[in-house]
Amino acid sequence: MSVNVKIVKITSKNLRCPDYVIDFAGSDGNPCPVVLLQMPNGTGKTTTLELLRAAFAGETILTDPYKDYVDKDCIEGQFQVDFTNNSLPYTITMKFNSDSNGLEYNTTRPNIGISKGHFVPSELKPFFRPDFVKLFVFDGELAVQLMDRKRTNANTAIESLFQLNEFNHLIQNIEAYYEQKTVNSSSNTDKGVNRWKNKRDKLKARQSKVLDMYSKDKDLLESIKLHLEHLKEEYADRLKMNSELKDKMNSALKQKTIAKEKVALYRKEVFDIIKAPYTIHEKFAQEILELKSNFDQAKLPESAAREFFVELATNEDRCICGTELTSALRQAIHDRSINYLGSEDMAYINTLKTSVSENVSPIMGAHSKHLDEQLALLNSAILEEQQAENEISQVDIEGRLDDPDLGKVSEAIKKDELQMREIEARLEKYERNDDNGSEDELFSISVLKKELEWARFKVAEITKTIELKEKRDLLCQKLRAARDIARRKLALQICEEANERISVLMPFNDIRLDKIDQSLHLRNKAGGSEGETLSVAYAFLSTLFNRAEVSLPFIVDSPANAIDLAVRTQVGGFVPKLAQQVIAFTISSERENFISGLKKTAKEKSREVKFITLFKNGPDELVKLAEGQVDFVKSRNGFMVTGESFFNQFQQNSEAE
Amino acid sequence: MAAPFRLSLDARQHFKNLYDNKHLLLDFDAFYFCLIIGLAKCKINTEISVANAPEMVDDFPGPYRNQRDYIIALFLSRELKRLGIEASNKKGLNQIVARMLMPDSKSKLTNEGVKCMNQYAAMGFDVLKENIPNKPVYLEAFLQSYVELVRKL
Repeated sequence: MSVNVKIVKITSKNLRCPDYVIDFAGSDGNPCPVVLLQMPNGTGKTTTLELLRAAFAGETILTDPYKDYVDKDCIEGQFQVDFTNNSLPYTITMKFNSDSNGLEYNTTRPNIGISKGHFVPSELKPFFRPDFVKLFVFDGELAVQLMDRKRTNANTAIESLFQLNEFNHLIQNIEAYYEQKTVNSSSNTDKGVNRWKNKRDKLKARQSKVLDMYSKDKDLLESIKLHLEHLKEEYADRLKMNSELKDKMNSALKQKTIAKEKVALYRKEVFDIIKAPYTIHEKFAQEILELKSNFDQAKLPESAAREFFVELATNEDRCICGTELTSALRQAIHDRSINYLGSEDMAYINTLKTSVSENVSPIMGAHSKHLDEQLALLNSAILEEQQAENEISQVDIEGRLDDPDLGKVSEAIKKDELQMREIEARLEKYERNDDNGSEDELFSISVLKKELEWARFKVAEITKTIELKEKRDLLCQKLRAARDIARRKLALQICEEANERISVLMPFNDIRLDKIDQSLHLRNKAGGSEGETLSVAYAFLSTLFNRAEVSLPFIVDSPANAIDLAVRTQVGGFVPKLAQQVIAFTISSERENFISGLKKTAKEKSREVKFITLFKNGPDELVKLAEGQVDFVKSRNGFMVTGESFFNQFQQNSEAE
Repeated sequence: MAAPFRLSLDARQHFKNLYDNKHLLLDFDAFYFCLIIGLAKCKINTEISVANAPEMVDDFPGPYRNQRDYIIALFLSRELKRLGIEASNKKGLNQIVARMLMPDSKSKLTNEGVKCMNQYAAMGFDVLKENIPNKPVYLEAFLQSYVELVRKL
């Protein structure tokens, strides 16, 4: 069982009820299953019950100003409840102050100890609430409230006891899970998914088109290259027919090849030279040399490295000159050490200076002169190549004059070469890695692929979100339906069982429960007598507490007072079965038939009954009788006697309160 | 981790033909062209967007490794000039060295030093585009114009 509450002890001091320490332990030391607490009218039964409710549910349930709970002869008063839940001990203490009209709670919990404030274990929170606590710290007036939907909620009692709230917790968890999963989703609507679907479809179509164009252009390029090759062969063959032209062409082509090779050679040479920046511009060489010179003049790197000064400031007692190092001197050395290079900086500066000295000539123009020479050779090679090109063109012109068809071939070659360049430019667009524009304007195959993948991902993400939403809605709907069905069926069953109990309690009264929702509804009746109402309430509560998985004590005020003598036996028989622990506040006038019925059932169920009588100061003979008892306790303003014999003899019925 | 050299996508695109016809092989080649112009101009462009200037290497690659010391020496000299620090100023020299050099790193530069070089290269590309707007097709033609431009600045 997740909830198993038993009251161990209640203590009252300096309050308007008598001072007492009531221990509910039975003969085995455990809380006794049935305790009859006889307190005459005016002894503080109502106050005790109210304080018990407030101890469990908090101060909002108290009806009077806090100072009114304190004995008029005192300033501070205290009420304390010791109880267990699943055998773990708890204590709730309420301290009243009449001067400040204040109320302070303290709670003692296992493994935590005492804390200021009212703390309830989480599993008890559904029950230790103002509206629910009245169901198990019960007085007859509340029986009427059970019939009034404005003042009670019987459904809430069913939901709390049978933990139907778990359905609500599940629904909340599902909502939270949905929120977590969809927090990054930009859309969860059909409109959003359609937008992405459109984009995806456009990109897919564009990709297909571009790939098709790319493939066609590649094929076209190959065929043009092939065609160009044939044209060039044809051109060469035609040219061969004129041996002079053929020789000129061969010579020009050879010249061109040689020139191209020279261009390549000098191009590489120049490019390699300019990688050393001092060769490009005389000014650069001078500046580099100047830097080296400045390092020398500044005596950089110095012989003393930064590390030397840091070490000196940190670890030495005296400077190298012998001066004692104060903290101020140390700080100054430390601060100024940044003006010195570190040892690795020094090493590199030395390397740099050496490189410069060895390779950068101080002779003005030495390097740039060499570069200029190579550039001149490069230009010369470029000119040679150009000349060879011109020679080739010239041979071409002469060849056309000689063979008109040669001209056609030459034109065809030029046309193919132009087309080839155009196709290569297009291919370059398809093959580049960056592109921008709308879906219809993209050419880059790799960009299209990425964009399409992203659009597909978004569609999937949003679709999943929509699916998730539908699942969430369906699941929550099912859970709500299950909760409502459970509530209805439980209410129906409890109603039927309660009616069976009522028929045993009042076989001849025409009073039965019709249904249970927010309140108890009687069949064909708006209400009943006080006794009938009480019996119905007991039947309902008895059914409720016997069916639920939770075990709460049942504390009741005057359980049989308003009930006919004839019914009292049955009610008495009910009481031990109401809960695992029953504490009944009684007065002497309800003992008849009630006690006999109670004892009979208690014996049948092997449940011990404890009899306690509590009264304020009274007539001498009563006090003497009490003092003669074995288990007798006297407090500042009251007497408490434990035992069945005194319980049955006690006759006091004053109306003081 | 050492900071990498960076060059804008636009700059790389400007030299694309040279890469396509294999006249340029290293990413650093385009960077170097731009860097030298920036150093010649003695100005930096601080508006480099990391998104538009992807990372390259964090060291002087291949043939540039042998020229590293001279490139760094020119860089230090130009930076002193840009900041108006007399090269003979010992304190100024020390500070520049401390800020820009880190012998432990692959490039021998601090992160600040690399960042400063990137800014020179960014400015260099701006100047290059202004003076040689057409994308170079053949390196041999480009080299002549390039050297003339550097000497002019």
